[in-house]
Amino acid sequence: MLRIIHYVNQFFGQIGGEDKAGAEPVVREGAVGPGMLIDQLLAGQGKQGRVVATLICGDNYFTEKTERAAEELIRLIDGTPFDVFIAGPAFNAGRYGIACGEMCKQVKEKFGVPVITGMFHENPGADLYKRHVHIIATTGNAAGMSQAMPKMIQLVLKMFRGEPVGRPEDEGYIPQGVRANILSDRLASERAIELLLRKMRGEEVPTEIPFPSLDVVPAAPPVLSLAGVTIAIVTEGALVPIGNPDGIESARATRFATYSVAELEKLGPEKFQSIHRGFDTTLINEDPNRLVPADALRELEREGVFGKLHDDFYVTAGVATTMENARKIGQGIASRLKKAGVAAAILTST
Amino acid sequence: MNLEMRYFDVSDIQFGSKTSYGGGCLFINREELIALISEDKRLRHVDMELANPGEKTRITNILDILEPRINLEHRDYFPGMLGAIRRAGEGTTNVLCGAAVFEIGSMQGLCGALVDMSGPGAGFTPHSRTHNVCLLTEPSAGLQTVEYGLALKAAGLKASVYLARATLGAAPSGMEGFNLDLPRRDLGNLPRVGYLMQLHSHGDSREPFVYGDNTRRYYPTILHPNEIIDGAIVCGHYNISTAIKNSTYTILNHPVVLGLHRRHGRELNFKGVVISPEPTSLVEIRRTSMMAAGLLKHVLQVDGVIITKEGGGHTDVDLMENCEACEALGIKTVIIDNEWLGPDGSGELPLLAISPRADVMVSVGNVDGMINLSAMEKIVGGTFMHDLGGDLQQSLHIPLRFIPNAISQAGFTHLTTEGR
Repeated sequence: MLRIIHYVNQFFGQIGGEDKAGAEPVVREGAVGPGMLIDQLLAGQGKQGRVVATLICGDNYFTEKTERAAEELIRLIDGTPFDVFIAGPAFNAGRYGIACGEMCKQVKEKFGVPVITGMFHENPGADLYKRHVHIIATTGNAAGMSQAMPKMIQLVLKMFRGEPVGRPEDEGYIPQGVRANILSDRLASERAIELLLRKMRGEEVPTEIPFPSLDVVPAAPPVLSLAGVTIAIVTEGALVPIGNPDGIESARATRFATYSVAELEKLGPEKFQSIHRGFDTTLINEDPNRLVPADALRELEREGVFGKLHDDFYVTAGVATTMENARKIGQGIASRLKKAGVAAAILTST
Repeated sequence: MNLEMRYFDVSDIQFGSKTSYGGGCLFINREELIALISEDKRLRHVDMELANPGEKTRITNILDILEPRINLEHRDYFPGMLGAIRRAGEGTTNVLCGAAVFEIGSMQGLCGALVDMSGPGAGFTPHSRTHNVCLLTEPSAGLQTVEYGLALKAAGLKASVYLARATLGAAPSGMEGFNLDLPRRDLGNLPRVGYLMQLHSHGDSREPFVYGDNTRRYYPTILHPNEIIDGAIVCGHYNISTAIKNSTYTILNHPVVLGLHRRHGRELNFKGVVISPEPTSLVEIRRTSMMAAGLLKHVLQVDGVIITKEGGGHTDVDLMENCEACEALGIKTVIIDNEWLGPDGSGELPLLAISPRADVMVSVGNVDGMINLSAMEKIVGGTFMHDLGGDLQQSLHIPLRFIPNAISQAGFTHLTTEGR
């Protein structure tokens, strides 16, 4: 039999209204309030399960001391064996929605059981938690309880049985904003041929991959005179000290690092290596200056072509980096260079 | 150009005293084949194992997959690579359908793939349904990665032809003709369609071979579709991920070429294939895309084209430049591409370039998507892979991109993505 733990706020937990919103976490044996509906629905399906415990917490208590409240609530059920966790539904109650989302997220992480909640799509908890947990779309108020709860139970049972979760429109959950790998009944090549023939007939055909918008960065104005200017070298070629002390990833990098060229005439292969996964690094590892041209820049520096070579060079690995991380890395490097008074940078790419 | 494929269905493979084919079973003289591969002194040690569908077997460190074939008239295959230079795509080719040859080896810098013959991973690759002859090799001392790759390639090609030789004199299970030369009245006003096949060309071990030469030495050129499905192009990548290269098996069974071929004269008029390299600088990319689009428009005279790429994010630039150049000449395009969206599918797609004229892309899945694989009883190819931590015999949680043709840029997969 399926053992369910249900989370509700002070109102649905029958402690009281807004005046009791500061109520501390408690646990009650069996179903309380909407938990009765869960028991009824499951009884109707041949006694598949029941609510073994109900967690109740005041909305203010949870949102004002979220970390502590969640910790206390989890402590209350730690040791109680259960199979799935249901929170709410919270409809359009904002604080309750956040509590349901956060509890589902934490219970899923800590106990690894299927979790589900329900909310109105405009509930602030929906945006905050839809990526992390499945949230059944509900009406704005509790009048929709009898529609919402069966959908919540149906989906969480499906997860419990290990069946794949279907599309948002079929299962009734708020779209999570992710793209899931699924198996089509036809080969990609067959779909492509069909779409091409339709496009050639003049039909409007859908694209399977939505086109992302391009983020175009306007170029900085040119440096008019190099006299006295500090120049830095930035590379996505993953040139790091032997042993890669900062653990820069060889592909799909999440960070950058800086290494000093101060007082170095050039970069020696005994000190630096490229750990990049996107190109053949043999030649770079024979002479790292061909990726980070410290030798040539030192010479130009001596000749007075420009002011100074910046003491540090900046490194990441540019291969299959996610947009999010690429943006973060780029902005990080640019702001550090700006702070250091660097007027121009040479970006070497691979 | 007329090509006849004779299919010899394989429903079992076994070691035997003589390499022979009969009753759907391929018998392999293990010692003879090992001796043939061991002639290459670049390989220090050669061994062989067989893996059949349904077995609790995991094959690891897979570097290429081939299909055993032989040309009946020339008694060889893979012209320019193994056999002498001749045109592929005409005459009679014997195919051991349902059998595959796996090149297996491990070295820092080579990117291996993994196939489960049963369990949850099996459904994501056609190679859990083939009877696989696994060539296990070790490089000689001091052998560099590029040379090791070439030795593996020679081993795979030789083994494929050696095995297919067993079909000589046997009765085929089926036959299929490939001929585009239909009477003009049969083609009538059918839509004229081409295929623009981008081939990775980023250096040794990172590009296929066309009639034995590296793709980086090619300009866009026209091939008859028969040439592609009959051994003119061979996979030559050893240090890029299996998800972003086409195995030799995939090229021989190219689903876009076969799909268009089989519709020829019925739904469409398949005018031909342009193969095009993927150079590394923008000026070269613009030159090749101009030339490829020109061949499609002015020589093949197509009105629609499917474009596929091979490789990582860099080659999206080629994809978009090719799309742009074709659409600018009035050729309608459909692109096949993979997505990079992070393990949970929540990331933004990092397309390096977008043509404003591109409007239809078919997805072959999120390369970062993860899969749970169950523990296996037997490991072929070793319990260690350079890019995967842990003991590979145990249950695994790995990106799908390690499974051959789970993601297939040639479209040889059922995988796609859907908004959730």
